[in-house]
Amino acid sequence: MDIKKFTRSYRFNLYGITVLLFAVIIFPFLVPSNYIISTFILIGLYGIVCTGLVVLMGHAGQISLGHAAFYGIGAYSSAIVSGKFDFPPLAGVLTGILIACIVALLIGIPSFKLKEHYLALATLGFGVIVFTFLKEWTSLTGGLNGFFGIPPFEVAGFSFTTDRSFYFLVWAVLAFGLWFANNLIHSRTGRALKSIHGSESAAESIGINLMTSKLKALIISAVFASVAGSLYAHYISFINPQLFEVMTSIVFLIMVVIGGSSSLWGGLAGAIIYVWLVELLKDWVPLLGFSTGGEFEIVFFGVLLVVLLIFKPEGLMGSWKERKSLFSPQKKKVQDKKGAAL
Amino acid sequence: MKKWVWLFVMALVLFTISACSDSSSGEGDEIIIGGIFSASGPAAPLGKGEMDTVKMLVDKVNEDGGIDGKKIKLISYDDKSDQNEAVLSMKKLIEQEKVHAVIGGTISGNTLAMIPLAEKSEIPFISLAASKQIHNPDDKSSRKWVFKTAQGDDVVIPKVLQYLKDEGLTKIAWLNVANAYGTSGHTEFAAMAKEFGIEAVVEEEFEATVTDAKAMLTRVKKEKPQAVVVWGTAQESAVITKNIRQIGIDVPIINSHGIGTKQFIELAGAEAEGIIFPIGRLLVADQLSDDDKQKEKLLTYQKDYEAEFNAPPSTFGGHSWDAFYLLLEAIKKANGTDPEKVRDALEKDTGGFVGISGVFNINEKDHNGLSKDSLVMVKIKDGGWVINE
Repeated sequence: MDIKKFTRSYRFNLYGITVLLFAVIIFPFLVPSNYIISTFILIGLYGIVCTGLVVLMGHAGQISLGHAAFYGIGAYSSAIVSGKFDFPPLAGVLTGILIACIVALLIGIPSFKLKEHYLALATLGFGVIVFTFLKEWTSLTGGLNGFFGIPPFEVAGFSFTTDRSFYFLVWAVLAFGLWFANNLIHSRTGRALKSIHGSESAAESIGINLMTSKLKALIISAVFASVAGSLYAHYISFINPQLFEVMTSIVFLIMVVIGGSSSLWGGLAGAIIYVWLVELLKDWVPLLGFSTGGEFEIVFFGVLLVVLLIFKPEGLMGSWKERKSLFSPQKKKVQDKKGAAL
Repeated sequence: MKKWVWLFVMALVLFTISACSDSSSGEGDEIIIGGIFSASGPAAPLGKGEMDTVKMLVDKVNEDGGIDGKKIKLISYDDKSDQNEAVLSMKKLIEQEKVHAVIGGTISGNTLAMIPLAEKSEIPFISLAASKQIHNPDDKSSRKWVFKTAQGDDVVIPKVLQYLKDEGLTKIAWLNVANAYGTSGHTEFAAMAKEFGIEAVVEEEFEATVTDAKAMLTRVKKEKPQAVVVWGTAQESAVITKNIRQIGIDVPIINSHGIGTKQFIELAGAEAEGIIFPIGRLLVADQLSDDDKQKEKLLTYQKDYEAEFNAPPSTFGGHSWDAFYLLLEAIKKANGTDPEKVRDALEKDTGGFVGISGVFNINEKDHNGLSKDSLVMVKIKDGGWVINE
């Protein structure tokens, strides 16, 4: 990919973030309903996690099956630091970030010494460990009974108690996250990650340090998830370990796959689609004559994933040019191979 | 460029869709009740019966002409046993559907996540979950608008302890499943045992997925308890109960109210014989004496439910029966649906309400209102249940 194109996509993303910020500011004035605002708070939170995952999956080419655990680390750090020890909420968020970084290092170093997708396995196991930890350490986490009474988020004396103020907070954090990820993707590290995604051996041969590049991506995505978790805890004010089980990690993955991991916007798009489909299904499913939505939803998202992987494997926000090659994918591959061989 | 244009268009479309679904409620001519049940997902065995019960009762009341000429409109959602779903559903019910009261929250976690919303928007909320934190939280946060109709461990454990005391079984073994159900039972037990002069000579935990617990039970056997208390739900309790008999511990076994299904008897087989457990009267309604206050209502509920769904009703369905009729009673007493008045009526004017779970005496200090007399000790005999009092 030539540099010119790179900077062009960088600028487009910047415009995109600016437009998004405007849309975010106007939106609550168009929509008076707190319910819709609160769905957008959830979208924002998932968007933060998924943007981190986009960096990890789409750019470093690593799959994590344990991001719900990082999300949980953030949530419980905030809950314990601000709910139990009465420190300001910001201290809880920072504690979460710190723990997430350390844990990401601890998982990343051994699993990145191995080639291919060992991170997926390591994070899967890690998710189970964190869940057990939260479940069993009852004196600190409240165990399966959950942790309640988490105070609202507060910064410099302003406390975010209404849905609307929290909505602005979450989307501001998300916009910052997108801006950060955009800079990262288009930096030296980002290009290094892209090349690792393409071929590890080739990247190594041109002097890219696989370990540090991958670690950076993992740590950043862990921090994104942790921050989102912290905000979630302050928003809902009640958390329990079941929220951070493996299934949640998979839901995050579904969002990223739906949205497309190769685009900066894939995570956010996936979050919007997922949350709104679930909400709309809630109203539509009874019309179809089912009284319970759960089973129906699993089938629905299964079918959606299959359809998407067949017709748009890059995800909905995957580059539009890919679409042309969809009709002649094999031809392109052969050409590539020839090129490489020559 | 196309990317964010697309995003923007989508946001716009979503906005239009949502704006259309914004329903305006006709003020005054109907009573709108919101329901949030875990009708699918892990808690489905509990939530499905709750949802079905409320739907059935709403139809019945509407057929009979409603309340003071007003029809009831029920808007019920399935939260899929998921906390975020429960919270969003609650918001939707309060903000968009403008419900007058909410019944639901099948599991304690979902209820606890919904409580801040009910308190903030000042809508009466009757929970169907059991945790003590729902009506009597440790952190003393406000529960002004929250009521509950299920027996919590603070009601069930004293019943069991009283039984043990009456039978003279003071040195017991305590075994509980390692999940929210088991641990909260244990906490309550540990806090109250002394009061009744009961001592646990051995305490153990087992996993909900246990398939064989003989090693653990050998330790229990060594301590020679006079009785064994097993605190879990049907599946795992059946395994433990079987194992207890298999390694030859021949003392009375007391189980929790979580085994009040035929499934337990099927799973535990011959070893289920003689097991004693506390449960609401619904399970043994036909054996109650005729002067029992609840008998008539229990039998009617049983008959109606079976006619409609071809299956016996569950204790959990009973909780939503209670929630629904308590709410109607309060609305009648309050002469309308003003949230403040309904709440006050629930708190002050429903004393002595006879329901499925028991006789409710809700007051300012106790938003549950059930006592340990709402339960009976039941014995499993010849593959069925008999009252053991």
